[in-house]
Amino acid sequence: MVPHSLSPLLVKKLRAEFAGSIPFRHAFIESFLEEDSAQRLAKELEAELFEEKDSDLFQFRQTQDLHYSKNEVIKDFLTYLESKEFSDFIKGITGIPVKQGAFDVSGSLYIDTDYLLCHDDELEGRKVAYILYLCKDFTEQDGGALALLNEENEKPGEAGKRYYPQWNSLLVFEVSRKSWHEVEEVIGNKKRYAIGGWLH
Amino acid sequence: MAALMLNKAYTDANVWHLIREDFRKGKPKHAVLKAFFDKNRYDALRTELKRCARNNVKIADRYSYSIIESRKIKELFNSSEFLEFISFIAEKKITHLEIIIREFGWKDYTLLHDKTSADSGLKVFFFVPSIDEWDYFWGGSIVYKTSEGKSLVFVPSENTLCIVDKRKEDEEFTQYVNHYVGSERVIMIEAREG
Repeated sequence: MVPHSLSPLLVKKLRAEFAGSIPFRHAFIESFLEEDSAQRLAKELEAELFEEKDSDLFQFRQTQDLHYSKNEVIKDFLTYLESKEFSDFIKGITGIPVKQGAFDVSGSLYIDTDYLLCHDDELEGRKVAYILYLCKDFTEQDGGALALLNEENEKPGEAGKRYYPQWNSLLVFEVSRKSWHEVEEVIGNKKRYAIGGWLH
Repeated sequence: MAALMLNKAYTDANVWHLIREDFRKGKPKHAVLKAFFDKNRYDALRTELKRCARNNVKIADRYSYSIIESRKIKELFNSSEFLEFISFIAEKKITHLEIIIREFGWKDYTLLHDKTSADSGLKVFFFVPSIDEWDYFWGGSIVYKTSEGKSLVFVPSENTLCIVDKRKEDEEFTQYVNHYVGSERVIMIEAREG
């Protein structure tokens, strides 16, 4: 599994973006994997079994922990996530000392009317959240944006920033008491596939 | 608003006993009463609710809905006839009900919250949807996750009264309302033991 060129210059640019971002520290990386790798990974992800998840907070579909996947392409991607290259890349961007090979990973699928309401992801050990979009580009009409919420009087407020899923893009953000975010409802027939989790 | 004006079916003492028997069987105890008010009373109630101003409230990690204030509705659900009826069904003396009137449309919801989840006691919901046939798939149902691991779902339905004796361990929330609702909305009058 080959990431797109992670040159020192790109890391430097992303580090600045991460440090100066609002409403909380995050970075958005376009064309993360080489196109061929992204295509293969997306195809295999779509073949995984997705289980419907439903609670007060969310409605979407999720794979098992992908560490248990027997799919060679997915295993290859996990090998990359486990690599020193990847943890160094994340450390380079965020300045946060994530531990090599310590991460959660699963696939998610949001279809029409699916959503994930406001939460902060904070749980012991989680340092950086990551999500790799493996779906067609979404627009405002399609919904499905990841909304990063402002903090107002120590409570989540309005969306300070919205990211509509973009093919083969990676979004990372620091997990903290104020990393309030939500996935806005998907509207229409586009399928919002992604792989994501947390680095510890 | 004057007298309670129940649907005639609910003025029969035998019916009260049947409802109470049904209520006792639930876990948590509950009953759903369709066509609760007579048509004139229900129409008057809708007219009153239409007249009232709405105030949007949102704390993203807890809830999103509009609040409606109506003295008349509060009085109606605290009338001696209503309290007598509820006390009979619940088999406990209810002398006062705290009333909150919420309206839900697209993107509205409530989430489980430690403080409200730990509440217990009698709760009454009365639905006033903007459309006769509210579709379950739009969301907006009141869901109880019970300690038995089951879900008890109250789907909005016009002129329908739901009575629940919430136990401490039951978790309650209102499902997110999705885009298929369009411009339709549902008002939920919630009365709780005060």
